[in-house]
Amino acid sequence: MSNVLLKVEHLKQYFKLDRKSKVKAVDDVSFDIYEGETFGLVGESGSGKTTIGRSIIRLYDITGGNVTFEGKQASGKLKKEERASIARNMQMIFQDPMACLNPRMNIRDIVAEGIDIHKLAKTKEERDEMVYAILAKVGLAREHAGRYPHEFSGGQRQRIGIARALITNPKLVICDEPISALDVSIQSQVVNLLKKLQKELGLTYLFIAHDLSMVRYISDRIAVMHKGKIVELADAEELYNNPLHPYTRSLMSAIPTPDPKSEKQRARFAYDPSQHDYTTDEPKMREIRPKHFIYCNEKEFQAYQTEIA
Amino acid sequence: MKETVLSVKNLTVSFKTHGGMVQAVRDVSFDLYQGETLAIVGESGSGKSVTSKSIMGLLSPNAVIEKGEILYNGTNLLKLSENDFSKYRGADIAMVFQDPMTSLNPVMTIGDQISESLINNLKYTKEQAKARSLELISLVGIDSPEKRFKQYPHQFSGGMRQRIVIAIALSCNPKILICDEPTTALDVTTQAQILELIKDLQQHFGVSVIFITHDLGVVANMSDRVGVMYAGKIVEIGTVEDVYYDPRHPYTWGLLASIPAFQAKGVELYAIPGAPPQMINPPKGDAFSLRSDWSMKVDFVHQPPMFKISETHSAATWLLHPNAPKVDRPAQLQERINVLMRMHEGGKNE
Amino acid sequence: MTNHDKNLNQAFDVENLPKDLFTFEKATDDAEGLTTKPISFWQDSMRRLFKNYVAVVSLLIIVVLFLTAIIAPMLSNYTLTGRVNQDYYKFAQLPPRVPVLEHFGLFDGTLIKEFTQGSLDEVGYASDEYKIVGTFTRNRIEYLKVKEYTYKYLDIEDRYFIFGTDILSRDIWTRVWYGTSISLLIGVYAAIIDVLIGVIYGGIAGYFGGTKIDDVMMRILEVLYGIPSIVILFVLFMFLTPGIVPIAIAIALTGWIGVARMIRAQFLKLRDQEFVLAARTLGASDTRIIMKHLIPNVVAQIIVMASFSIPSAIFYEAFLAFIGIGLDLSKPSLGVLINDAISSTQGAMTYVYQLVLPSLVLSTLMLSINLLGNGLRDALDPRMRNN
Repeated sequence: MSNVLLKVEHLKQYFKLDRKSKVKAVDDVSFDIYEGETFGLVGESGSGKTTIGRSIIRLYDITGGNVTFEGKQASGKLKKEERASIARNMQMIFQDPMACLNPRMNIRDIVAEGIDIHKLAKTKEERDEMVYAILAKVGLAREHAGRYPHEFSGGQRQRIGIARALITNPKLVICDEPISALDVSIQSQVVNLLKKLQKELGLTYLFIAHDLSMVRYISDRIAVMHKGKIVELADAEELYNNPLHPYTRSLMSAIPTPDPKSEKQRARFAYDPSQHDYTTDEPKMREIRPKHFIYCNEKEFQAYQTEIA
Repeated sequence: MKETVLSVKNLTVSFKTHGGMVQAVRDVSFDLYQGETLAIVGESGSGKSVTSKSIMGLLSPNAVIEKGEILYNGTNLLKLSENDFSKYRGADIAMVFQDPMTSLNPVMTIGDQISESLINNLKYTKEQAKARSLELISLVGIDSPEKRFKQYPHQFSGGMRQRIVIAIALSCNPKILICDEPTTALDVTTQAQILELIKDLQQHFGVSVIFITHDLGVVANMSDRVGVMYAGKIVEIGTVEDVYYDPRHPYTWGLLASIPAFQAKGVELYAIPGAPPQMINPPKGDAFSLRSDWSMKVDFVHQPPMFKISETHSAATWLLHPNAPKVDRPAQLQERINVLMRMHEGGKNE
Repeated sequence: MTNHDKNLNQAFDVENLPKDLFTFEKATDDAEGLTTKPISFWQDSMRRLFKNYVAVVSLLIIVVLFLTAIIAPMLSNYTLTGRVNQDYYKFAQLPPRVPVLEHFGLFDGTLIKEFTQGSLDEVGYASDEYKIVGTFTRNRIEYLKVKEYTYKYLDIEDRYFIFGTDILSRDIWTRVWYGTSISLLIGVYAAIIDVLIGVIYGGIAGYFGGTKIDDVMMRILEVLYGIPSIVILFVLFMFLTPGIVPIAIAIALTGWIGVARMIRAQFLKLRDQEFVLAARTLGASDTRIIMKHLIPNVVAQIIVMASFSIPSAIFYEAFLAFIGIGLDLSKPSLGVLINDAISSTQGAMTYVYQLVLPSLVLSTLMLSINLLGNGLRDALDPRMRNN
């Protein structure tokens, strides 16, 4: 088994709504991401999946818990050099190809931002060469460098966003719904590119999405989120073939597949959170099979075990 | 042959812009049959929404209908004055939009919004309208209609709002319901519920549905027939079985093949190269030829006509011309179709 | 005929297309190629601005007014406060007279005066020094409307005062253009101070939006907004000595609030945009984010705001001068000139040119800047893009 690159322990992220109330966007979530893998995080809107990504990359000050990156503390108060090191090694790709590029900057300056911040190039020529090299990697020509974001299509802009994230040679890339705003025919281009880059550069991905079929294709392991908690975590195929948590099942039954005949007889399960009785018996993540975790209490755990036996 | 309720013939719509005329819809023709669901699938900018807006008479002021007709009950809707059109809108043809947030008036109660169209279109009295509204609210699967009747849109979740929008659309027993990406803004589980609801209500009301979407999974679930649009044209049209199990147009191949649903891990996803063309200056000949792996000389010269494959199935690609060389679909796609066919065959034998 | 028809009408026989057309051929066009030259937002905006001829004409007028305001006083033989001649009774209140134009009856150095028959005889005009242009009756007395050829009457036919002279025999042409430059200076200063305070204040509030800092800053702003600006000005002028900069500051103090609010709203919106988040994940400092990502995205709005702020400051100053606040007679703005003209002519129609000429320059200036501002807004507004 390869090394743990990112360790998230009991991560909590609460947002104040007003003086009295707060939203528990992420509520006591723990998981590890191994070097070189793609870790998929699936959930519906409001499940806290985007918040997790942003908390890990320090866009938010976390409310509680601990994040460790490459064995070093990566959350809470850090020294300037430590923050810079995390900024170089952990990067993010965003959802909206329209909003993720500064409309007033040309592509060269957008992509070179990481170089400028971390002073990675000594001369202007070196900076340009680095930009051209990464543009070539994502399938854009050096002629594109002088142009502005509005001149590009959605798919091209997403590639520019990828180039910007990769310029500092990061180890972990958080992909926050990178394809959900793109057209079908463009989605697969971007996914193939991400796959290719992972192979070439040895990247580790945290892939956040609501599209289960794409997550299954791209991920090695998948965590399913519901209302700020991970309810099930397993290898991609295991999760697809043996989903156990009722929410996962309901989610999987809802994905439409491009097969009219089976689509027309498909039964859907609705998820009713009130089916859990957690008043006396506290739920927690339990390993029901090797590497297959499920959020449940002792009684439910027994029931799941008889089910898979 | 089923009865045709709506017939779109050679519809061509352009938009005046700074850069020139954008040719959004180019010579689109199709029929909608009684009680069926016709899906129109395409990417953004393919002209699918413009087509539906033309049928509803909701095109923006810079749109120019260059030619074509939309026949409903023998009337060409495109020839109607705004005043005459408003008699059809809501009463005969209703529409459900993508964003349930913006298609409801935030300062009116749900009840008033449903009653409004009943009073305006069907000349109901206030009491009749209320009774019918309550009926509709429970029909779209919302509990305690009396309480809900007095509430405002912000007190409803996204899925609930879309249910209300559907209730309003169906309030006047329209013959045709146009759904323009009605579930795109919703989560998968909510989407599944809304799709189910639309199917149930279609049975209940006997309404014919035009379903606009970019999601091929949703199409497979919802529709009887499907038209695939690319660069303002319908490039392939047929029953869902025709299009999903026997696709003929290279663009349909690309769309279907790029879905990861049944894709084995480690195998690269099929991807259509490039991006859709600029519709200010669409390419001569076949618009898809620039991105196609199967383009022939003729594609750069002439636009392909619709070739008929069967009674129900036609496609606009020169590959169907008798002189064209025989080609195979992308291997991944063919393999997937084979697997599905075997699966369904097996199912029948059981 | 539409393009589409043309395409369809290319006569070809579907059945009998030549076989060689059905051979595979790769697309030659680069599907992802960009054909046009790269254009930045600013180039694009300027191109749009120069397509708007109202804005272009306004810009030309502003340039002409601006250049005249600088050059005219320098080339003039007269000074701002000096009398045009020792014989100042004779040279007071002379009507405008312009070479060439005078032959067409415009600016021909004449005044329309009213006389009774008796008083006219008393003046003792020579026959070519006046012309009776009309009669009217007021209080049962019959009056004559007389066109006086003033320059001829005073025997100074070799002199030309383009805008005439005022009651203290000062050259109005010199004073108007000097006044224009003063007004412009006040306007520009006020706009700069406006924008500076507004951007800094609004920027800080917006960048820290939702925190205590923002809360406190916005409450202060609301209090300031609640005080009528005229009160603030009265208080200020109790402490300030009149002058261009004090007036500009005074006007800006009431004008920056709008700018601050706008900038705050924009910053709040931009702060959560993904490109700003991307910069933060790359480790960008607050300064870098503000200077590279936030400010460049509000410059357009700032320019538009400033372009509307200049004429309103000019007008506000004129209004203040008119009601007698912040007058600085040694540096008269257009407002001061107008005020002067009203008090010295007592509203007499005969000398109305003293009032009309500075007002005309003031109105033209404000109108052009406003129209240019409109043009800039249309050109820079991102919502207009891609249309």
